[in-house]
Amino acid sequence: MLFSSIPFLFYFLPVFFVLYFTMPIKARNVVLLLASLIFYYYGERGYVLLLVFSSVMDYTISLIVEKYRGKPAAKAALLVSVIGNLLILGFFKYSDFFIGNINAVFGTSLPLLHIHLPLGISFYTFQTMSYTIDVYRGQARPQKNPFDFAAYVTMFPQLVAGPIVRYQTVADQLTSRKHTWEGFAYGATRFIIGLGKKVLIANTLGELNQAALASGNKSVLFYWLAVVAFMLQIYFDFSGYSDMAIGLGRIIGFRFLENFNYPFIARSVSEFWQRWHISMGTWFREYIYIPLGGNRVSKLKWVRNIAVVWFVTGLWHGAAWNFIIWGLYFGVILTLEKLFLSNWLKKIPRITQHLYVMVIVIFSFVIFHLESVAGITEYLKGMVGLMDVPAVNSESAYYLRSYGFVLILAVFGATPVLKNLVNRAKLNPKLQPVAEALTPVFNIVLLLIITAYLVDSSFNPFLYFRF
Amino acid sequence: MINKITVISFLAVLFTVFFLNVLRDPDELSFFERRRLAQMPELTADGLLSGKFMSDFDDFAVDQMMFREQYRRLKAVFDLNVLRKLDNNGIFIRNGMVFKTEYPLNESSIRRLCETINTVHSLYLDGLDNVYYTIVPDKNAYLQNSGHLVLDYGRMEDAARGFIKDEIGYISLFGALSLEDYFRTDSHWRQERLSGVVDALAAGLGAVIDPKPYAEQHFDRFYGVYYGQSALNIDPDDLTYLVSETTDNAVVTSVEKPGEIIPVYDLTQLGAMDSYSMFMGGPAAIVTAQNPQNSSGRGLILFRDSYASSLSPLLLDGYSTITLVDLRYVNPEMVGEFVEFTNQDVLFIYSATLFNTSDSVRAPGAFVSPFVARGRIG
Repeated sequence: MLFSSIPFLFYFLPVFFVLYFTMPIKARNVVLLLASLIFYYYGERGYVLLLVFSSVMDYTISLIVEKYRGKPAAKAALLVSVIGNLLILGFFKYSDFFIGNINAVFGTSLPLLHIHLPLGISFYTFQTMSYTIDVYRGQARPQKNPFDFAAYVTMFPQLVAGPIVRYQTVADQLTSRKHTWEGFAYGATRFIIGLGKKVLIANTLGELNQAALASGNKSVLFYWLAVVAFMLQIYFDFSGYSDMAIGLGRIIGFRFLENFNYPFIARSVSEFWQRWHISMGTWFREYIYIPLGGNRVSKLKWVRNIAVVWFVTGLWHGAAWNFIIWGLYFGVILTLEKLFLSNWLKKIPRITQHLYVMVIVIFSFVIFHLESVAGITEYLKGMVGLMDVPAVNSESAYYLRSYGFVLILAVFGATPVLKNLVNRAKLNPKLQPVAEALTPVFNIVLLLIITAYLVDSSFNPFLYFRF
Repeated sequence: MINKITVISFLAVLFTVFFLNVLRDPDELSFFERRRLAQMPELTADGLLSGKFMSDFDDFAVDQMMFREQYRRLKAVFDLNVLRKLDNNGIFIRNGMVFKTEYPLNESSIRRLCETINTVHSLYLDGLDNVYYTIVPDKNAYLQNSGHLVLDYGRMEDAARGFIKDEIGYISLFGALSLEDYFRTDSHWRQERLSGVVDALAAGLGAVIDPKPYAEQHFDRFYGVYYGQSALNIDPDDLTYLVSETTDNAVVTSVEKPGEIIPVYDLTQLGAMDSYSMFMGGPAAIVTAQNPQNSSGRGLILFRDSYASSLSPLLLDGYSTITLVDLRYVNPEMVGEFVEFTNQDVLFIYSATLFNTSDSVRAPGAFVSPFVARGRIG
């Protein structure tokens, strides 16, 4: 089920709220678990069993790890968890990628399996795996109550597109959390804003991106429009989803960590990645980069560690070579920044720093978007005017005029300017009552506009579902 | 306090919409969208296991949303006026006239339709002298240099000329029309403004069309197809139809309604879902109009789309019989079972829109049943 759908908003959510808030506090995790399973079943049907299996496996293994702490059995159990989760992910996500590459390298013709990619598998396998690792490391206490643990794994607000919520973050809240008017109000506002980012901005930019890519009448402007629209679409889609997840979590008393922090205002690529998909970056740092030695090793090993992390980051995003190239591209840039560029970056004007980041990031989205290496090369040539197409034509000019305001809104919305203005108003004694009073009005108006778009639109899944 | 208001207002919206949707009787049809609306799917184990229930429920929930039209209007207004987009779902308004973007030029679609025309010619028309085709310009053809995305109609004509057999002559209508000759809220042309088209066709076909005096009749609440698609509050069109002694006395029949005489102008369609269906029986596979006032014995066969529905009554004065064949609803191979080809004039008359999106035209050999069920209502 999609958050940005009428069935979720006006059928699932009201019924869930009634059941959840009328139940005694001790029964609420069971309600949350059942609702999450229905939520997942609605879209994925039989794959809900895989989710349950993953929950049961890591619940059981964590208890074994705890029971045999310090003994080889604990390590063996941890290995079973890691290998089991990776096998699940590998089978469902990467089978055809591996088979295709084997066929390409060895000239074989092994048939592809065409396995359906279960929604959210990249997120929940990482969550359950990190849980067992944390228990093994002694950083988390194993959850004894299977319903509480399953509620954590399957929790619908963050189940299908993150953020990747580590068990430690919500361990205490699973057993004891506060439901407050303030939390609910904040959560509702955050949810509606996220929904607006997805439905009003990301989907509209998606139209532009599709129109530009589908055009048989290319121009340099079209190449740029398509990739900028795609970059902003991904940002508003994914950060919007994270806002919705954080908002829904807050409504039911959970505090998830932030997943985005205005990445486009970064002044280095390193900073960009500290602001983009924070939960994923944290996961890879905690469970791959640091265990490999992080930066406390020789320079050569350090570079290797960065390469491994970014190879895996790329692969995590999709079972195709362009994602791996995309990850390695960032690995190279980050290595260069850490080794050579950081000092230079500090000296150049701020605007140049931003330009540097934007060029790197825009080009990265070309790689991210196009699956074939030939396609990427051709696209990059098109962007710099080497494809024998005009700079502008009537079609690209039309789309620029038609989507220009949305693009400006998106660029503006990708910066913290508006948020800062609102925060400043809330700190001003004269403006505070007005700003606060406008919040519910803003929410309702925005919700009605979003509903209008949902009523008018067809099925439109979140982009990050495929990861 | 403000937190409580925020929460209560949020919940109030969710629960109000929930109860309104649950308690209302589902609508069967959408008048403005001209389609059947999804109904509540039956809850069965099979439906739940296969996922059909869920996908059907998605459709139901969207289709049966209370105040659906108002939401669609809000979206259109927001898209056009707040986000400043130049069109909403491809629909745009210019000087009070509603247009639908038809872009880009689809040469494979043009080729497909032309090949169907060639096939029909090979099947039935080989040896006939008076066989022509024409492209009915859609109203976007008169929006060149407006800044909107508009087809290259010259390229379309060139492509059609290249694909269609040389034996089939071309009659151009582009110079015979202007923007004012079309409805504001509909894709079609206005019957009362087709004299230039009639003259151009008569000249091309070598026919003498000497019309009896027409009396204009009006229906001033015509909501065209773009009205519903635009979802905006636009004044309805005035639908004018031309009545004469010829149209009053013509005998119209349809092979789909054996034994039934159809009026040239079906007044019961006025105010129905598609008032334009009032002309010559509306969408139908094969319709024949006999003109007892013309004793020349000259016949005309129109392979056509809906534009010919309002045009054909004006051609009646030049012919004893006019046969309208719509290849969207009947397979080319089946036409011969219902139409006798002798020495009639033949005109393939299709809109530029259909040339560009010809999927709906039956490809030869693709169909076994004589008639295709029409998905469109009205």
